[in-house]
Amino acid sequence: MMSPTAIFIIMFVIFAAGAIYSYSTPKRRTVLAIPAFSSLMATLFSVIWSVILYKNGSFTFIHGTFLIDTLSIFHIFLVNIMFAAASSYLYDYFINENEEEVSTKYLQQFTALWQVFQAMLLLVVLSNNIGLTWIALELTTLISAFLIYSNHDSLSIEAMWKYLLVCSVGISLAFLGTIFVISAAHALPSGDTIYTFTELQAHASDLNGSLMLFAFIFLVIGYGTKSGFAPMHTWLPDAHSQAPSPVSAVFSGVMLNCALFVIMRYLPIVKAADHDSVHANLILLFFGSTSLIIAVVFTPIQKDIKRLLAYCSVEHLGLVAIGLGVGGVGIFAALLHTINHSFAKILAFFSAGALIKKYNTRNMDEIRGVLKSCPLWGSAFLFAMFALIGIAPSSLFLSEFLLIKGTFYSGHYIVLGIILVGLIIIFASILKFVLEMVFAKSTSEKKATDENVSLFNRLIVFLFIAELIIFGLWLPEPLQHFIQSAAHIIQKGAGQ
Amino acid sequence: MKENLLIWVSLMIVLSNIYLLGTSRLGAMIKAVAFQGVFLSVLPLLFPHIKLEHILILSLLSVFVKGYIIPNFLARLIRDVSVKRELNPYVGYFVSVFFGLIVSFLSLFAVRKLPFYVHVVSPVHAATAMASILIGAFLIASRRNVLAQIVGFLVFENAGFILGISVAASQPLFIELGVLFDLVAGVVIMGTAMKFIHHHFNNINVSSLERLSR
Repeated sequence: MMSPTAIFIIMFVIFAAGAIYSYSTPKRRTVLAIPAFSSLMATLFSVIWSVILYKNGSFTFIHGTFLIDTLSIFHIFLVNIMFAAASSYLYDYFINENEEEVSTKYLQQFTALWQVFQAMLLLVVLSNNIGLTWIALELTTLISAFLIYSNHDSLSIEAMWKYLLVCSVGISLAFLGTIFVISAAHALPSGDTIYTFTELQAHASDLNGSLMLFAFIFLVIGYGTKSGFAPMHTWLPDAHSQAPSPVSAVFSGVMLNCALFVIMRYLPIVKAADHDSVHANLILLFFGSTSLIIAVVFTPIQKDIKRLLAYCSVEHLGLVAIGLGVGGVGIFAALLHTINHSFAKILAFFSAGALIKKYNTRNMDEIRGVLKSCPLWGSAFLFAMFALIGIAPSSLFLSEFLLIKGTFYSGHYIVLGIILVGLIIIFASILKFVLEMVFAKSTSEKKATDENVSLFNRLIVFLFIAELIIFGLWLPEPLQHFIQSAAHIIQKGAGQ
Repeated sequence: MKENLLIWVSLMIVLSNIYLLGTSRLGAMIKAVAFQGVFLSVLPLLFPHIKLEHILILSLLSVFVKGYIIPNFLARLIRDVSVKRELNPYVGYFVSVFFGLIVSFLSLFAVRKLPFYVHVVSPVHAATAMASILIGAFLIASRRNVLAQIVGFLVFENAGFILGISVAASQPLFIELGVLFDLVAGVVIMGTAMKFIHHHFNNINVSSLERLSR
């Protein structure tokens, strides 16, 4: 069996080599094929990690700098699988454009940054060192800013600037939070200096509770900016609407979750330091509820299909935060919701991207009769949106149901009220949009074709729809255990 | 001696903050924030419990990055886009300076209420950092000019450095280097974005960037 360190090195060499190769090769097909290859390789290698994890339990490597436990392997697979799907979609998305529309030079830069972006997200979820986590997450912002600016027009530069500034300031707040955590660890009775999640967890009860709570506010605001919590979400609709659809898909389905993952790591430490009080939970409940309220207010008035999906992400990340906040079964529901939301949202962005190309507009009033004009992406869009609004028996219905149950048992009735009212309003308004887009008659004649969808992408659409339906009806036992053990880490902390 | 020096450094930081709030000339802003960065880089020397080579590498690199690389990069940018002044900020200069003075004064008292007061961070230190955070955020929010916003971001980052230095000893050196690297990369990418903005709008005002709404 290979050592974890070797796999780590191989994985990052793959991404580095992939980025360099796609940056330098002149063949458009090769440039576009490399990201899919490297993310598939990364997925395969992360399987080896999970085998080691299964055999020996959680482990750290390279002097405790990196940590792999169920929670991180959960997110590693989330990153790799979603990126593999998005990279494959990326190929179809750009392959039919000719040199005048999208230059080869642009594609080279795009695919190179794309792979570095994935590597940095993996670094975030692998890191055990709280400083390294911060550095890696800041780098994801800087790298992905260029992925947004790809229409090379005045609107996309606006989105890029807002994203850069809002997220950089947010991440700086998280930096202050990180410093407060380290200074709390500095004042330990034993005099040890510690800066990893596992060590912090081990000494959590000796840490100064009020200082840790103070730090946690900064951390939630900082990392929460990146995971789209309202009221720091302002960059999100702009970035999602202006970025090319594959980028919007990974932003929504992966990046937001990776930022939230960091908060999941801190949560048990802060709770243990604060003697299991509810303060940390209340902070998360506050931001979760605010996000939901903002989504409720802004969803019904959207015109742009991708902005609609962006506000939908604010809603679902808010729900995940509420799940973390209520604890108990809520945490299990939050993790399950994370998976389901990523599958549904990525499928939604894929199909929205194809529809936008087909109709040449993002305005939902002009996108009509999608089932007729492109059967594959139209039906994928229909399934994804139905799942996102939680129609039974989709898998998001199941996780939202568990979440509501968790909120009810925890006794946060105000939050429960917000969830129920919010979900109903969002359900109605999105359903109206979707029904119009799917069943209303198309004003202009569109040929009924799905041009050049590769077999691989048809398979992805099929698998994603299958996930959305099957997990709603039946959750396989091993997966259930896996999520339960990840939820246990959020409750009890890493290495406990 | 050390306490005295600390107070002098803090005073310099506060003064440069006030100056940043009061000037409309972008070149002067870049110089002031570089001055602030160099003064900050002296701070690690006041902490004898950090290993000497650790201090030296950190201080020298920090002086190089904040006093040379970033100011030069920004100065070249404003030369390229040939913008010299911030013409009409959202909040006037007089009000800004007044805000800066009040914030710097009040944070001296406010830090005593915060939980980190009892810890390694000295009160002067913490007050300076807190004032810098607020002033940096104020600069970002109150200025129309993209470069002034980048300077605000640098002030914000400097505040993190002030607080971070007191706990630097417990961190491995590569983390400090990573943070510095992120800072340089961040400024370079923001600068590149500024060039794009100039390319599209022929100015560097964020008021041009208000077409995406809701």
